Amino acid sequence: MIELLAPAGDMEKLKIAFHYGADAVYVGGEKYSLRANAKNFSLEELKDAVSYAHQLKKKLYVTVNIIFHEEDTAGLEEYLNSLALIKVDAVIVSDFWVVLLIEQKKIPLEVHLSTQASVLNDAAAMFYKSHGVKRLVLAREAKKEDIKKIKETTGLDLECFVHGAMCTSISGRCVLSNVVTKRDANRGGCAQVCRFIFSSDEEMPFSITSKDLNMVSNLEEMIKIGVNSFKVEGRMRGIYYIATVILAYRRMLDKIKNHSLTEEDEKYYTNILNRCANRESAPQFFNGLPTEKEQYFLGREEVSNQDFLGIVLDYDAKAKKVKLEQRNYFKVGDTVQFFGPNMETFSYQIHTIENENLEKIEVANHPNMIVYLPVDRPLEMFDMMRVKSFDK
Amino acid sequence: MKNKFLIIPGNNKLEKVSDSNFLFPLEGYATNLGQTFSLDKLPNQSYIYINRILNTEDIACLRVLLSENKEKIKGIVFEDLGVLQIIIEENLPVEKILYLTHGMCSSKTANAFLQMVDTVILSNDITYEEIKEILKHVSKKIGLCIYAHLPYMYSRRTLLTNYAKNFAYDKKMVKKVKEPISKKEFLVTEDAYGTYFYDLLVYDGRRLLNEDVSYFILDLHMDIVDSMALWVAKFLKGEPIPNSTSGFLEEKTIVKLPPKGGV
Repeated sequence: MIELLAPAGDMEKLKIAFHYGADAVYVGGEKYSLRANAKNFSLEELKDAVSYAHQLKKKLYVTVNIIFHEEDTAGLEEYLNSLALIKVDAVIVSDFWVVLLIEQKKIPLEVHLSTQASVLNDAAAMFYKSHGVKRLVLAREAKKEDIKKIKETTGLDLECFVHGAMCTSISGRCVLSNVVTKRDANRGGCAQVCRFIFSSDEEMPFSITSKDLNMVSNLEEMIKIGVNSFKVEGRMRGIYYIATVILAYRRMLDKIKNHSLTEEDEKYYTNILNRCANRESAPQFFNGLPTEKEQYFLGREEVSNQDFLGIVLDYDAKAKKVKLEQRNYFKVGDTVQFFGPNMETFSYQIHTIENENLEKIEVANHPNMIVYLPVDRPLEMFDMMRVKSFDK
Repeated sequence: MKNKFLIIPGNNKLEKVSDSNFLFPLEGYATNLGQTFSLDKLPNQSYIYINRILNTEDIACLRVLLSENKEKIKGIVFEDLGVLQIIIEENLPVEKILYLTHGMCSSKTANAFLQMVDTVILSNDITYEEIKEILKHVSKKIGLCIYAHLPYMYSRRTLLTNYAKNFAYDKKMVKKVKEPISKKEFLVTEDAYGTYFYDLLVYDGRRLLNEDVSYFILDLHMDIVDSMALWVAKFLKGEPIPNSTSGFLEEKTIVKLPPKGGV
C-alpha cells in the first residue's frame, strides 16, 4: 500500500487535499492536538469530514498527539470513544498513556505512533507494536538503513515525512518555546524558537534554522525499502500550498508506479515546491547527517511571493469562460498558468478580464473578487491560477 | 535513604557519598553529558545513563554490550524505549528507570509506564503544583531531578560545527548564546551525537527534597567539584547556589494564544 497523506487544518483544506490527489488526510480536533492555534475540527465537523472522506473512499486520521499534563487528562477516554464511534480511520498518538488506554480499554481505534515519539530503531518499534500500534510515523532523523531495518523487523506500516518544515530538534525533545515564550511546544503552542536569531560572542549571530524537507529525489527508494505512507507537513498552511505540494507528489508517485518519472520531472517539481513554500529544501537525514548546507544562518533567505492568483469556482463549457475568485493581484497582459489534478498544467496570457457584472476591467486587485476569463481549455472547480514561473 | 541520590559526575573525583550512587553516562550511548564511561571500566552493579535516541545500528550494538555485561549493571536510566525492549527481550536483571526528558508530565503517563518499568523520572517542564498532584496519583515511587543545567533542546544536527563551517570560524564545542527578546541565555554543547541547548543558569530544585520519591537526580556534569561529599553536604544544608533558577517550578506554560485585541 502506498499512500499520499496530506495535512488539513480545516474543511476547505481537506477538500482541496483530496481533490488534488491525497489518499488520506490528518486533522486535529479541538483538544489534544499539537496545532492548538490552528482552526481545527469540532467533533461534529470531524463527523462530516469522515463522512466526506469515506464517500471518496479515502481516509482520515485524527491527531491526539500532545504530551499530556495533569490538567489535560480529563475527558480523553470519552473523546477517543467518540472518535471510534464516528469511525475515524486512525488516531495519531504520542503519549504512551493514550496508546495503553486504547489497548487496555479495547477502544476500537487504529493507533499510529506520532513522530513526536521519535522512533529510530527496531527495538523501540517492537515495543510499540507489542502494545497494538499499527503504524509508525518515524523520526525525521531516520536514515534509509533505519527505515529498512525497522520494516524488516516489525512489518509495521511505516509513515515518513516527505515534505515541509523541519524541527531543528529531535521531535518532542524541545522546550525552547516554553522557556523563551512560555508557550508549551509539546501541547501545541510551539513558537518556533528554532527560527529565531540568537546573539553570540562572535561577530555573526547564531542560528539553528533548518531548511525544509524535500524527498523528491528519494521517493522511489523510499518505496523500495518499505515506506507505506508519504506524509506532507503543514496543517497551518494555506490551500495553494496544499494543492501545489499534494499535486506534485501525486504526479511523482503515479509516475514512479508507471516507471516514467524522469530527472527532468524531479527538477521541475523541486522548483515548483521550493517556490511555493518560499523556502529552500533538502532531503535532510535520509542519506546521512545534514550539514551547514541544510540550514539557514541569517534567517532572511525567505522571499514572500504572491503566486496564487485565483481559484476556479466554475467553468462554462458553452461560453468557454471560467469564473474565478481572485487571491492576488493580476492584470491584462500577464502570463499565468492554470493547474489542477485532472489536467496538464498550461500557460495562458490574460487578454480580457470581466468583473462580476461582466464589465471589462484591466486589473483584478480586490481580494476575493469574482472575475471571469475566457479560457478555451475546460477547467474544474478548485483548479487554480498562478504566476507562471517555470515551463512545463 | 539508601540509593536516594543518583549523581551524574562532572570533572571530579569519583568519591562515594553516602545515600548516593553515581549515574554513569555510558560511552557511545550518552550524549552531551561531559565525561562518559566504558562499561568494562565501571565497578559491578553500577547505574548507567543512556540519554540518546538510538538508531538501528546503535541498538544492535547496545543489545550485545548489555547482554554480555549483566553483572556490571544495577540500573539503567534511559530515554529510548528501544532500551526497555532490549531489557525485556534479553531478560536483563536490571532496574529500569525511564527518563523522558520532556515527555513525563502527568500521573497518567507515569502510571502507564510504571506497568513496565521500576520507576520514572518526571520531566522538568512542569510546575511544583503539577509535581505535587502527580505524586499523589502515581502507582509507584517516582524520581525528580533537583540539580542540573536543564536541557531544553536536543538536536541530532551538529549545530556548532555547521555554524563554524558556514562562517569559517574555529569550531567550539561549547558556546554561550542569548535570545535577545527574552534575554534568556543558553549553553550550547555539541558532540558526535548532536547538539544540546542547556540553561546557562543551574536549576535548584531543593524545595522538592521533602517529597517521597524513588530517586533525586543531581547532574553535575558541568561542575568542577573538589570533594563530592562536601558538595552534597553543602547542597543539602541549603547553601545558596549562585546563578541558579527554579526552572518551571513557578512558570506555568500556556497552550493557546489569547484572542487578538487582548485577553
